[in-house]
Amino acid sequence: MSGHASDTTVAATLGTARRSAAWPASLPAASRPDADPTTTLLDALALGSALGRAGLRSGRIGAADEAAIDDPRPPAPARAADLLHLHLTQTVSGRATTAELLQHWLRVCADRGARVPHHLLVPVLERATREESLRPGARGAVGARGAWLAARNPRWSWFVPAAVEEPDWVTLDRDGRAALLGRLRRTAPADATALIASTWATDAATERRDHLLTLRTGLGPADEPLLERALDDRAASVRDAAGPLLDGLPGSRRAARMADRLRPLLATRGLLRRTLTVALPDDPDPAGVRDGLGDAGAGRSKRDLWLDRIAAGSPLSVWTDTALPVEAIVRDLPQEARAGVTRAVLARGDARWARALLEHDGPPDLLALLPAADAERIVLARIADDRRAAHLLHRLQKPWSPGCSEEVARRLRRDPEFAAAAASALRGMDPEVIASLADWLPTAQQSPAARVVRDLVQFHSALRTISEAFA
Amino acid sequence: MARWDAQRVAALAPDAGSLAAARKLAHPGPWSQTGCSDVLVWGRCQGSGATPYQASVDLTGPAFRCTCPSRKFPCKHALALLLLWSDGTVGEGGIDEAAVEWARGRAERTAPARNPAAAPDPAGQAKRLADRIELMDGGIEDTARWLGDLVRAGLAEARTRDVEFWDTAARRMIDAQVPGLATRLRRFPALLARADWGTAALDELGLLWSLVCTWRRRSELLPDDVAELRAALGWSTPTAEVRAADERNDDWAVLGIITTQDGRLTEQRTWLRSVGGETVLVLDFAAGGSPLPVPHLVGQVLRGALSRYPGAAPRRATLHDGLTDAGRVARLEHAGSVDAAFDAAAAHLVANPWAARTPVALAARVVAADGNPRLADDEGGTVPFVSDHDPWPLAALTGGRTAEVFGELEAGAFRPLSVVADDRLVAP
Repeated sequence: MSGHASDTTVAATLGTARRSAAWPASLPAASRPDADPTTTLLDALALGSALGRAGLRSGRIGAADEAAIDDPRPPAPARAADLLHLHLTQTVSGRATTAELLQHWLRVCADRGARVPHHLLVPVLERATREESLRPGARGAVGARGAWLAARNPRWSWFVPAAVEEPDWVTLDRDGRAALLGRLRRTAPADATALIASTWATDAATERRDHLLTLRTGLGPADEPLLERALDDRAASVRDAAGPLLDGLPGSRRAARMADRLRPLLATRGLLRRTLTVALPDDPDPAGVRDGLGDAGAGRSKRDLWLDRIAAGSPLSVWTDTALPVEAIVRDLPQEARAGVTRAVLARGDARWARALLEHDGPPDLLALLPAADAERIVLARIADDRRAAHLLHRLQKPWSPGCSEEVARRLRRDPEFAAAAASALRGMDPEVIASLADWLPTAQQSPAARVVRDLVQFHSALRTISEAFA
Repeated sequence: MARWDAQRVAALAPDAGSLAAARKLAHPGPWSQTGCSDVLVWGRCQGSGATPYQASVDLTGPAFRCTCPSRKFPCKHALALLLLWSDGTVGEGGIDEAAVEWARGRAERTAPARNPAAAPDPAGQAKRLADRIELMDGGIEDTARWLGDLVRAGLAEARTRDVEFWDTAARRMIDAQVPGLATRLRRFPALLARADWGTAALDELGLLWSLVCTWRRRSELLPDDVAELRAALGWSTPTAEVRAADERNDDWAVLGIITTQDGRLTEQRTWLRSVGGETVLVLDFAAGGSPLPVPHLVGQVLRGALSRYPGAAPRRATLHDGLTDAGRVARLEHAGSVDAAFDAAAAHLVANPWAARTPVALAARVVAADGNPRLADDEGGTVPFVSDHDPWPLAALTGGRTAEVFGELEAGAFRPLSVVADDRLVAP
């Protein structure tokens, strides 16, 4: 928006020694009668500059924007708002702890039917942009005005949980497609599968693979046709992605094919105490290679690999068809099959198998499949054997049962090395037990456990302060 | 003087360590012979030595004094004394001769010299003035030649020059007693690096040439115009002179405060508006790392006197001591349309062609649906935000509803400094 004529601009840029400029007709005054070209140009610049600056005008509004609707919920009480401000601006005990305290604040705020006060909306949204763990809480607590803000600032585009309008799949770029699939798999998985299938023939191999991997969320029988088709894909990366996904569909045709391969390998022996034997598979036929029984690579037995893949892909019912109980099967399971069976159990969420595998040193991931009481029992047993297993406490559902909390508290008081190992994993402890630990603190003196317990007590005190501020 | 709250005292601490140390001392235990008056607070603090340290604070500065060996300013004793005064522990009354003497000495040093025997003789004054004008004339003619060389060679060539080229010219302007020109020249490298360097640099060149021409014809100007010319060239009027020439007693509402950095110089702008509708600007500067005066509270109304510098409205002003709290601002009655604001900016340029910004109040709402936040009034006029402003706090406070907003209109963009929310004027 320049007040200068183009002639003037060119002459000033190139220099009056090289280019002369006529006095602009648009200027309201005449040039000085006896001036040299340089002075004349400077005069034109001075007037043009003044005109340009004084001539600035307002813009006009295009499409109308709507104001935010009124928040039906009241703002959080003043004391709670002060605490939110405190935790947003100061990290009293470390970033991770502050994030948890903020999460707690946002959750309690939503539970009590209140909302974040307007003057704290921007700091909350900014913080949740940096710390993903705060995003669910933020969505629940910022209210109508927060949602209105988030819809308008591209930095806060993470806020919108569902697609507002359906973008065109064909023209979307890679990130856009990933975001869209991520959303759809949670709400309408069949739509996502249909989208993937629509451009399957023309997408590049890396794209086909990426799209397949999104099927892990909300995996269901409707995805089987696409996955079965992927087993024939010309790219190895795509074929290798399809197999493990089909492990999660025990009703699929591949699962049935795997079952046919597994069944002949199983045999039971003995009369009084039946035991299971598992033979190693023979070389696979082309159908077997297609289903994932390919080369093993250097340093690994190929039959072990095939047994592993067959175990992962077969329905668990094949094992129990031998009329042995699950616990016995797991006990007798050879090492090569154990990993595959574990993957199958994780994919299908079978609690009885999970418990059995855990009794035989299964990986901690299986804990998530168990009811809380069983998980606690197994973790406590492992900790009793080895204090370094204390990190498993992270996997227990919060809050822990009073019994479990008591057990851990007893160990804390007795065993300083356990306290050190368990330091960060104690957040789930029952609040009453934490209160009793606070009473024990004065007698703890300088023991290393004292510091750990003190941090825990302080953390819970901060949580309680937040909850009480909303009363 | 109303007692300050703890936050205001804390803001005076030179660092967090001093504040922590002061808090440790802020209980009656080590203190004796404390007292305060309208403008003075004093007390003695028992330290590690035999004699207690004597601390005093002159609230009008504020200025601090303490007999302790600390080099910090204010020291922890003065801070602790203020904290005790703030929470009411220090009672009024009592007399500390030393503190009163010190405060009186300070007042004499900072007040304009009223003693005729101490005033410089008129002949000497006239000579100094003539010398200065001669220097400035030289500097202005120097600038005229320099501008001529620049447009003869062309701006494209000027862009290839290094920073030293502009800095050298700026230094000559400082020597010629026209620091206002020096500041403008030092901004050129950044101007020429912008995407719109063509327009921006031409505008600035034009403005510099208009300063040159106006100075040459200053004998034809009215006094207010001379004042604006002097301000643009950086020839400041001494505070004493300003105070002697003008005084306005009124209730002044603090409409907005902004602190900006220009190289090593920090500038704090405080906009005030009287009940009668006159807007003035208080300017505070700090060089290097020294502190600015404690800012006032946006939305507060100050009752008392100020003196206005000569020039066109809105005039620069300097506040007198002894301002008292007169409540809070609930509304911006003069909030108007965006078009009216642009008209006001144009009128401002007529009175002061070198004005960088105009204070305006808008009745407008934040619109941002297309990802381009700006303000829009009810008649459909819009104005964008200045590039260095984050519009989201204002959007959060107003939720896209029309609200009364005060701020600066600068080169066609708006910088919000306060907004009426819940019947109170607050900074966004």
